[in-house]
Amino acid sequence: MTDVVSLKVPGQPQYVGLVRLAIAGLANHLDFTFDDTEDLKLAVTETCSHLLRGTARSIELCVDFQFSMTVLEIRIKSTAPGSPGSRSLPDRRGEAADGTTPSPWGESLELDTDLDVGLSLVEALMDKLDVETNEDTGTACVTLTRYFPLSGSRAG
Amino acid sequence: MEIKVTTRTLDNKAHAVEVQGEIDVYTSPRVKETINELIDQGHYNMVINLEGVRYIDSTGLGVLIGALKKVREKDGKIVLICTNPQIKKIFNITGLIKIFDIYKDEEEAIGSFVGAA
Repeated sequence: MTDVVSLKVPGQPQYVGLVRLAIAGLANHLDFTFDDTEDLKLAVTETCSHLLRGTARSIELCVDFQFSMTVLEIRIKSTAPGSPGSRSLPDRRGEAADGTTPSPWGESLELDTDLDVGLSLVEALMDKLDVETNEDTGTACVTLTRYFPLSGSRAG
Repeated sequence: MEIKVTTRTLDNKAHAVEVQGEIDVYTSPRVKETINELIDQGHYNMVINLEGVRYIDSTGLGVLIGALKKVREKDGKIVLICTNPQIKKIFNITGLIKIFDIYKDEEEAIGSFVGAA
């Protein structure tokens, strides 16, 4: 069985915390661990910030949390032209010898605003990340996927 | 969602910035404003206490990086106080753990300024 919880908020920074609160509550309902819940909160917040970034016009964020016994999919869609489009993400999966990831800012502290650190974080925290844009409708949609551990039983 | 940012002068003349709450795209401008005010006043050595921070995202990290870049241009220094494993995890994932000196308490953080400008 698949259930869907939906939330629509104005595309303004002050509502990002509300979306974060929603995923925290849902993750608790689904018996995610504290660490997993924190990962989900960060991923959702970063995605909302990504969609809001660079948009001067008024937009809405539509968030669908879809979950079954095996997977949680979070689809966050912006509904106005001008949303950031799909882009190729820098590969940050290669880890340094000491187990840390190379800093996206580099040792020189050069702040590269084109580099989307937020989505790179999301990519590191989620099992799957898809970014789609529809130029015709002016929408952008980011889907985050987190699979449940095989042994876990889920509410639904 | 509330955020509280307070500042005070430490014994070693560095400034402590204490942040309480969640630092995200909405609240990070408040943190940035406070830090920039200190920099504009010529205070280039800071201890930023994140012990009261429950959450930080890349916007907040960007504020910290921007501030560090500015004070380093003036031979200043910013160190952090943070013991929250979730916050430290984000510094680890982004590699910022290599850029920021992170201490467990104020005494240790102040000690790191010995010999600093």
